[in-house]
Amino acid sequence: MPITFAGCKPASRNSFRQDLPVPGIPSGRFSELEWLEGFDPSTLNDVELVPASEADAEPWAEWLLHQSLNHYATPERLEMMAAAARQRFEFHSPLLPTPEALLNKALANPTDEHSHFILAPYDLGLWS
Amino acid sequence: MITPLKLSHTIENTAPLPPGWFRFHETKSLDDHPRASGLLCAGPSRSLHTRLTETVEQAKEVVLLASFLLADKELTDMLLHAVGRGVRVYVLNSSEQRLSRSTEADGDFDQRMIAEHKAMLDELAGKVLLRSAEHFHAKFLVTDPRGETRGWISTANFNRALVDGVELGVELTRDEARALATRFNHIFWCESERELAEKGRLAAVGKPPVEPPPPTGDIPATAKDCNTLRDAVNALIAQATKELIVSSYGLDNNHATVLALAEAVQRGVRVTVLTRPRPGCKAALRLLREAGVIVLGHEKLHAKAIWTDGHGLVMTANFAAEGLDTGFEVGVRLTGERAESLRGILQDWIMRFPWRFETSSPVSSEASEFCPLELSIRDGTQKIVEERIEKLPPIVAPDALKLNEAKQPDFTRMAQSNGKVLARRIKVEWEVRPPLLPANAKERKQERTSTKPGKDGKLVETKELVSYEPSVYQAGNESFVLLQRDEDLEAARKLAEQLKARVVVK
Repeated sequence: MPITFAGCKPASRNSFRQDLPVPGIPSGRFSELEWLEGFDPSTLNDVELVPASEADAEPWAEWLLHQSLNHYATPERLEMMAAAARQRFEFHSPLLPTPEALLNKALANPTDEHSHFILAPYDLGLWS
Repeated sequence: MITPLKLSHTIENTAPLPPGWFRFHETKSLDDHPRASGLLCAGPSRSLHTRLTETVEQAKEVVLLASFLLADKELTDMLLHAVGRGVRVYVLNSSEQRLSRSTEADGDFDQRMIAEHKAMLDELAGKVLLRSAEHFHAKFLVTDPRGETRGWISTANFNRALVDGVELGVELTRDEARALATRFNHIFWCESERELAEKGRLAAVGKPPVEPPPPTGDIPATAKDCNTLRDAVNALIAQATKELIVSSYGLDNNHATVLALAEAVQRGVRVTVLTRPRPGCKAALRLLREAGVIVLGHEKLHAKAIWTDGHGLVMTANFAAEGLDTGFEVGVRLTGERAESLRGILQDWIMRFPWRFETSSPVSSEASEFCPLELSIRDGTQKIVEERIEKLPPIVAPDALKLNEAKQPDFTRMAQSNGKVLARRIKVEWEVRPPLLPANAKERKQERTSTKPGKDGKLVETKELVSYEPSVYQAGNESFVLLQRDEDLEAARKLAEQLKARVVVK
């Protein structure tokens, strides 16, 4: 199911799935289905999600990359993490920030809870 | 009447004392005015403390700080300000386990300092990246390794020792500071054991994402892969030809560097060791002094340095295996003006250090206090005085008329010290008292024959028992002449001679 990045909850951004509630249809709501006597409300479980557009895929991929940043990372590892994030998008090719761009972002927000995973390796000699 | 005889005897206290510390000067704050060469002492003018906090204050990007203990409020505030303006702060310090079993746990290194350290870590949690390990002992500061790099090596922990300790700090050249930063990096990634994850919680450290590059530059260090600090110390001792001055809080008598100091004396080098008087170093101190090393002490000494003939080294390691063989320690080599500065400081300390260690010396004519090696200065110090008066229990003479013939006390067993006071002379005072008439003595009378006229008018010879003058008493087989009045002295003497009795009083 296509979905916008903004409309997708964090848990679903990670799993690419979400439960989809289906509203009930009262009897006689649709004249051509009169013979069915209506539907009760229901939920479609684990509906597979895809970004609604390239514009949604890009922040989504960046979000995934950011979330996966929970270990100290060198540029090489950041490249691998970005590749892993991109692979999750079957129908899109999101552009992800380069390690340098991620570094600049971390330098601009050093107190962000994930920034030190980039900044420590950078400051302490692991970025060649 | 017979008055007790007051006697005295003066003993010159020339017997050697056990190994211990003699005080020759008051303990005062030492000069800590800045020196042009970038060498600073800790002290009340706070110059070292101020320069360290200024260095943090001026950091633009990165602060690297290592300290066994960290408990200085101003410095911590400055680190937090740095974080607030976007500077990344990285800290290495010792683990709680090491702090608890520290060899520095005697003296001033008390539980309060450890408590302050823990409180400071709580303040820094979540704001700085802090890693620890049992073997971290180095103390230094480097800022902005990529830019206007500055750095300091300090022998003082970053706590109140920066102000009240006898400590040294050296401002590093840019190359030295950058070299030290590479050492910090390597230790951070390869030797840390725990990382401060949140307030009060240290998490185990995993492997680094890649192998860090080996440290570069000339900063002698002790680390898991490195013993260049020990090599530098050994080289300085080996090259000494005239004079060698060493300052160290810890001295291990089994360590090769300590043995090398003793050997240097044998080849004619004048060796002076400055240390803190404490029982923990007793074996090394005896070894060094017996070899001819001059050993001086100060209650606040913690600095580690070595100077010889124009070359010097300031370091964070003690002269011991834990420091020169194992652990994480760093040092900085000094030559030229910086070495001369170190010599000046150490010479000043030699002049002003209050304590001198001797293994077997009598009470010195100039020392004001003595502390046995086995005891701490805090608990074992004895005041040295010119004369101590020792009052002995009275001695009872055998005869009230022969007080001078009473036996003398045994002076050879006289204690040199009464626990609190040690005297150059001991004046022993005692009283010789006349013997008393035994309580069970009964009067002994003499038989006197006299003639009186009888009833018939004839003279009759009669015998009667009359008292001696002065009175005589008997107890067992012994006779006593009781002297009660001064005017009976001569009579008592004669009577005692005559009866083979002793003169006593009541």
